[in-house]
Amino acid sequence: MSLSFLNNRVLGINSRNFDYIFQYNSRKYYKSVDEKLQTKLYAKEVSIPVPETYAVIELWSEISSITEDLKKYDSFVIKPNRGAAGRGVFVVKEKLEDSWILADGKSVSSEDVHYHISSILSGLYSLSELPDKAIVEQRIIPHPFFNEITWEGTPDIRIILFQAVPVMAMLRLPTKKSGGRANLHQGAVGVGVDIDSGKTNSAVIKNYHVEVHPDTNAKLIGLKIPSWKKIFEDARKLARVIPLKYIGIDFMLDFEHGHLVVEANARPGLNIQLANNLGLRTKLEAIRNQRME
Amino acid sequence: MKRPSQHAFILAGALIVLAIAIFSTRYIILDGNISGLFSGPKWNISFNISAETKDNKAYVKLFAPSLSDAQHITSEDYKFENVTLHFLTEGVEKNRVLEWRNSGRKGAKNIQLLFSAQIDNSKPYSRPIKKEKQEELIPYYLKNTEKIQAASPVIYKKAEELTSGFSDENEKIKKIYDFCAYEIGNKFVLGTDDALTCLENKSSDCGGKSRLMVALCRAVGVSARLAGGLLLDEGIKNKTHVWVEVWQNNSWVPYCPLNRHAETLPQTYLLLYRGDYALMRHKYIDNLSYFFNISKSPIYLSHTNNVSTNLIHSIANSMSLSQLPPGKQWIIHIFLLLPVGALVVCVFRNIIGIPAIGTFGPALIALGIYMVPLKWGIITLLIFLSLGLSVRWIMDKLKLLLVPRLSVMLTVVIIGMIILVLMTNNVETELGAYVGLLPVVILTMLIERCWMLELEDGFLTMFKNLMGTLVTVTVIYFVFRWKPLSQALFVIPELLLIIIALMLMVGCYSWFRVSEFFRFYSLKNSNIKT
Repeated sequence: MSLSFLNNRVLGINSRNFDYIFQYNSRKYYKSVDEKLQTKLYAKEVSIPVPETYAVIELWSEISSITEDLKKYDSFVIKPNRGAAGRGVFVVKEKLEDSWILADGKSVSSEDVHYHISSILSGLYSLSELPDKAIVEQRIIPHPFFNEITWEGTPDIRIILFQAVPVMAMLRLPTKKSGGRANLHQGAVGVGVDIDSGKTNSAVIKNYHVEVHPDTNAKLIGLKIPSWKKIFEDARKLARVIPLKYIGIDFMLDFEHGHLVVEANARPGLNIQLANNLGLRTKLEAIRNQRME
Repeated sequence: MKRPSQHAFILAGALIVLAIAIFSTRYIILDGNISGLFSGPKWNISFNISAETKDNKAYVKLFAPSLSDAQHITSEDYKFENVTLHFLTEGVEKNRVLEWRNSGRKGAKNIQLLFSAQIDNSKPYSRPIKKEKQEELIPYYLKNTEKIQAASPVIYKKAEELTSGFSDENEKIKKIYDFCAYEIGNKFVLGTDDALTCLENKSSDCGGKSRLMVALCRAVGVSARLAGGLLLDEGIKNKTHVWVEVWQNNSWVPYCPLNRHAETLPQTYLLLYRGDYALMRHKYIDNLSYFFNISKSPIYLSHTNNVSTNLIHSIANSMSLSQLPPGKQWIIHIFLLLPVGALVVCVFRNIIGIPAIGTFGPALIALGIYMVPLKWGIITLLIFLSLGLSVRWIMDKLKLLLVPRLSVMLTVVIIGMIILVLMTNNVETELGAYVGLLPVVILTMLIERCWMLELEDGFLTMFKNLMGTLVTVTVIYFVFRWKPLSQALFVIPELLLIIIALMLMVGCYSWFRVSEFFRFYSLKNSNIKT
C-alpha cells in the first residue's frame, strides 16, 4: 500500500460528504434529484429531452388497471421514483402472448409485474424506505455507437458538475458480469471521458485498468461520444436549474431520440476518479476558489 | 467561511470539560477531599457451588447479598451450565435468594455467583422502618423457636438474673451482650448449637452464642434476630458467620458475641441474610459442596450511597449508579455499553470504511451475544441467517406485500429462537439461556437486507457486507466483554459525554477512510492533469 495516490488529489468519501455535499447541497432540495419525476420536471423546464413517461402509479388500486394497460407497449421500464443505484429497475424488452421478456432474458407474467410495482410502492427500493411511486417509461434502445463496444444492457454517461461546471465524465458499459447493468460495483466497465472533447481516455473494471471490453474485446480508448457538445451543454443547463451545487447527471443515448437525461444524483459516487485515472479534488477546489473571488 | 467542523470541535471540547467538571464536583462533594475517593477495601467474591442432581426437579436455594446503606454490591455476575437461575425474595426478612433449578441432564453441576462488595461501617447498619411496619414486624422477633428457646424457663431465669435492677433497655442489652461475649466461651462445635445447649455448655461457636443472645433479648421483651454472612478475608473459605441484630432505639443494631463487636461491625462483615436459616437449602441433591474465593481489589472508587440530609450531597448521591439494586444495575450496564458500540460503528464506518449491514445492527447484535462465547454467538447468528434466507426464498415465490412479508420473517425468527431455546435446554451448552437477547427485529432486517443485497448487487457484495458486519460485531463483542470499560462507565457515567465528544470528532473526519487506500490504489501512477 502506498500513499502516493494522495498526490493525485483523490477525493475520499468523507471529504466528499463534508466539503462538498454538506456544504453545497441543501438537504431540503435533495428531492429535486432523489425523485426522478422532479428531475424530469426540471429537465422539461429547460427543454432537455427525457424518456417519455407512460404512467405514474401512486395507489395500490391503480396497479391492476395499469398492468393491464401496459400490454399495449412492446417494451418499457418500471422504476421507483425514489430509487438509488439502479435498484428496482425492471427493463421489459419484448412482449409475448401473455408474458414479457426482461432485458436479462427472464420471462415475467403480469403477476410478476404487479408484484414488482407493489414492492416499489411499499418502499422496498426507496431511499429511506418510505412509500414510493412507480414510474413506467419508455425503454431506451442504445444508440448504434454502442452496438459494437458493449454487451447487452443500456450504457449510460455520468457527468459530475460542481456549481454547474462539468468536472468529470464517464461512460458506464454493462458487462456479462454486471448482468447487463451499468453498475460499476457489479463489474460494469467505467470509461473515463475527457470532459472537453468527449473522447474516452482510460477504462477500469473495479480497480483494474483495461483497454478493451471484456465481453466484446472492443477497444475502449480514444472513442468519441456522439453529440458530446450537446450533452455537455444540456448538463450545464440542467445543473443551473437544479437547486443543488454538487451533482451527477446521468444520460443515456437512444438510437432514435438521441441523448436523454435519465436521472441526477445528489451524492455521486467516487469511482469516476478510477475510470478517469484522475482525482477530483484539484478541479473542484479550482472552481470553489474561483467562485469565492 | 468557518467550517461547521470547528463548531463541532468546540462542542466536543466543551463536553469533555463538562464531563470532567461533573465528575470532579461529584467526587469532591461526596468525599470532601480528593484522596478520600480511593479508600475502603473493595472485595471480589466468588461463591462456587458444585453438586450432583439426582432428579430433574432438583434445586438449590442460596442467599445472595443485597444492598444496604452500609453494604455495597456491584458487578454481580453468574457462571453456570445446565441450570436455570431465578432471584426470589423470601421470608419476613425479605432476603434475596438465588434459586437454581436443574435443567437438562442430571449430574454434576457447577454454579458460580460473582460479585464485588464494599462495606462502610460509618454508614447506618439499617434504615429506619415505618411505624406500621414496626408494629407488624417487631413482635415476630420475640418468638420462641426450636433453636431460640426464648420461652424456656432456664433462658428466662438467666435473662432475669442478668438484667435485674436495670430498667433501661439499652443497659439490659449491654448486659446480655457482655454475658454472651465474655462469659460464654468460644469453642468450635460440630453441627448447630441452639440457645439452651450453648447456655448449658457455657461455650459455643458463632451460631450458638448468637442464638443465646437472641433468646435472652427476646426473654426480656427486646426484639432480636440472627444475621448471617461472610467474614471477608483474602483466600478460600467455606465457613459462613452468624451474628445478632437487636431492635434498639428504632433500628436494628448489630452485635457479634463471638468476635466481640457491639453496635458496629468491622468492614469485613458481609451480610447475606437475616433470620435463623442455613446458607443453602436444596432438594434431590448429592455431594453439595461450596467455597468462597475472596480477593481484594487493588484499585477502586469508594461507593457513594451516603444517607445524608444535605441536599447537594443527596443530589450528588442520586447520580451514583451503584446505589441501584443489582437487578437494575444490569439494565444500566447494557444501556451504557450501547453508546460504546455505536462509537465503534462510527469508527468502522467513517475512519476504517468497513461496510456493514444496518447502522446500529452490529452494535445490537453484539449486545445480544456478548454473554455467550463468541463462536456460539456467530454460529447462532449464521444459523438464523440461513434459516431466514431460506424462508425468504419461499416468501419470494409467494409474492407477498413488503410489511406482511417482513412480519412473517419476524415470526419465523421468533419460532426459530423458541426451538433453539428448547433444544439447547437438554444439551450441554449455555447458549439457550442468552439467545433470547438477540434482537429479533434487527435479525429480521438483517435477513431482508442480505437478500436484497444479493439480488441487487450480487452475492459478492452481500458477502462482503456480511463479513464487514461480522467483523464489526466481533470487535464490539470484545469491547463489550472488556470488564474495565463497563466498570469505568458504571462508576463514571460522565464518560458518556466524552463518548459524544469522540463521536462529534469522528463526525468531522474528512480525510480518507482506510479502505480507500486500497480502493484508489490504482490511481497512484496517473499524471496530475488539470
